[in-house]
Amino acid sequence: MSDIRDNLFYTAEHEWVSVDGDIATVGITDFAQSSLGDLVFVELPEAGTNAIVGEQIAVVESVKAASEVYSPLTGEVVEVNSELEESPEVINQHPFDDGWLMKVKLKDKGELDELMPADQYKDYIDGLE
Amino acid sequence: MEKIISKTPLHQQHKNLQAKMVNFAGYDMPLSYPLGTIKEHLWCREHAALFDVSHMGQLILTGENVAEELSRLTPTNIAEKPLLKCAYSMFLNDQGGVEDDLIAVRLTERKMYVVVNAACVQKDMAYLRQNLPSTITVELLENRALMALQGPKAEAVLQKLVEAPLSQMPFMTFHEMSVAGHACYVSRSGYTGEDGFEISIAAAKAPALWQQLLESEWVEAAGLAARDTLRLEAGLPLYGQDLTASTTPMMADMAWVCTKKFTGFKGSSVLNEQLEDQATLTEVLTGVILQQRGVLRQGMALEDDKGEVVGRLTSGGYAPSLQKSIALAYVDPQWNVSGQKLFVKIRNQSAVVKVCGKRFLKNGNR
Repeated sequence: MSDIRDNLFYTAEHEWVSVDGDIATVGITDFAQSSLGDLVFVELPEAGTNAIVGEQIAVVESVKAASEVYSPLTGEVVEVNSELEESPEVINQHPFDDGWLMKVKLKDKGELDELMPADQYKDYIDGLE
Repeated sequence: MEKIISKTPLHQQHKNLQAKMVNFAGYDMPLSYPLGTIKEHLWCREHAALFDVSHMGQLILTGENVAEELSRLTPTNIAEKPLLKCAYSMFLNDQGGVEDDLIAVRLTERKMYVVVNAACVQKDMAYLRQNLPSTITVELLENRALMALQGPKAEAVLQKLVEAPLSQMPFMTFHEMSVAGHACYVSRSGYTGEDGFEISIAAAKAPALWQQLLESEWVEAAGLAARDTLRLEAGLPLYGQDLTASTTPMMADMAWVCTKKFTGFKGSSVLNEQLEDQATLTEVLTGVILQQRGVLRQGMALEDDKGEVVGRLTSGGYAPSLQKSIALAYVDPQWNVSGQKLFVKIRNQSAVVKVCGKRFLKNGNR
C-alpha cells in the first residue's frame, strides 16, 4: 500500500506538489519511488531554469532504469534539493519530505486546478495496483 | 493469444515475501524483495543471499559416451572432466557465435546434468536432439526447483542442513546429497562472484527448503535485479546481452572455454582463425567504469576523443559494492588498454569512462 499525503496535489505521472504562497515544492510520490526501486542517481535542473508544465525537468535513475520527471507546473526553478546528488536513496526513504526535488516559483496558480487532490490520486493508483 | 506466464515452484514464497514480480523469459520472477536491490546485493557480498533460479533449464542427458558426444558439440573438452566436476561451456553457431552458455557435469559414465538459460531451453533441446546420436536421451527436468545460495556465509548456512563436510567440496564440483532430509543435486557454483551453492530439488519439497534456508539469520532472499548487479560487478557476462549469436568466445575474452582442438564443432574454423590471428578480432569484451555521477546503460555507444564510435555497452548499471556505475562493453581491441579514457553520451551529455577490464571487484577502485 502506497503512502499518500492529504494536503498535496498529484499528477498522473506520480509527482506531488505542495504550495506555499507562490512557491511550489515538487517531488515524486511513494508509489513512484516504490515502483522504481532503489534510486542511484538524480539529475536536477539548475536554479533559474524555466519549468514548463508537462515537459521533462529532471531524471531519476533506479538500479533498473532511467525515468523522466515531467514538470507538474510552469514557473522558474528557484531551488533544487542538492543533497540528492550524494544521496538519491533519500527519495526512497522519505519521498514526501526530505526527498523533495525542486521548488518552482509559480507563473500561473490556475495550473494547480489541473492537478489531482489526494483522494482522486488514491483512486487513480488503486486502479493501477 | 494471451501469452502463458509460467510460475516456479517457489512462486507462493515470493508472494508471501511481498516481492516485486517481473516477467523474465516467460516466468513470473521476483525482481526484488522489500529489502531492495542494493541491500540484497550488499547482503550477498557480506553474508548469504538466496535466489530462485528455477526458471533455468535443467536437463538430463543419458546414454553411451554422453560426455564425449556433448563435447563434440561444444568448444570444451567436457569429457576430460572427472565425474562430478562441473564444466562451463557454450553452444556455438557456424560463425562461432554463442547460442547459449551452460554448465555440464557427469553424474555417471552414462548420465549428465546440464543447466542452460531459461530463454534457450527449447532451442537447446532441439539442437541436442538433432545433433546427439539417437542413443542419447535428452530430458527436461520440469518438476524441479533450482535455488542459489550465494555469499561468504553460504557454506556455514548449508552445512547446518547437510552431513557431508562442505569444506571438502571445491568450487565447480557437484554432489547428490540430502539437504534437510530432501534429496538434492548440489553444485558449488554461482553467478554472483561469491562462493555459493546451487541446489536442485523436487518441486514439492522446494518451498520447505527455501523457508528453512531463509530462517538462518545470515540469509536474505534476493531477486533478479540483485543477481544482475552482482554478476555485472563480478564481470560475468550475460547470455543475450554480452554473449550473443554474433559474439564468439574469443571476442568475449573467454578463450579459456576452448579446451580442445579446434576442429569438428560448429564455428571451430572461425575460432581457429581468431586464435591464430588476433587481427581478425574486430571487438573484444572488456569493462569500463564511469568517472562521474550517472548510470551507464546497455546500448550506449563508446566514443574516442574525436567522437568516433569505438564500442558499445552490452550491460551497464550501478555497482552497489563499488558505488560507481560500470558496464561490460565490446570495444575495438586497440582501445582495450587499462586506464584508457573513452566517452559515452548520457542524455546528449558527454561523460568520461575508463577501461578497466572485466574484473571490476578487483580493479574497480582505481
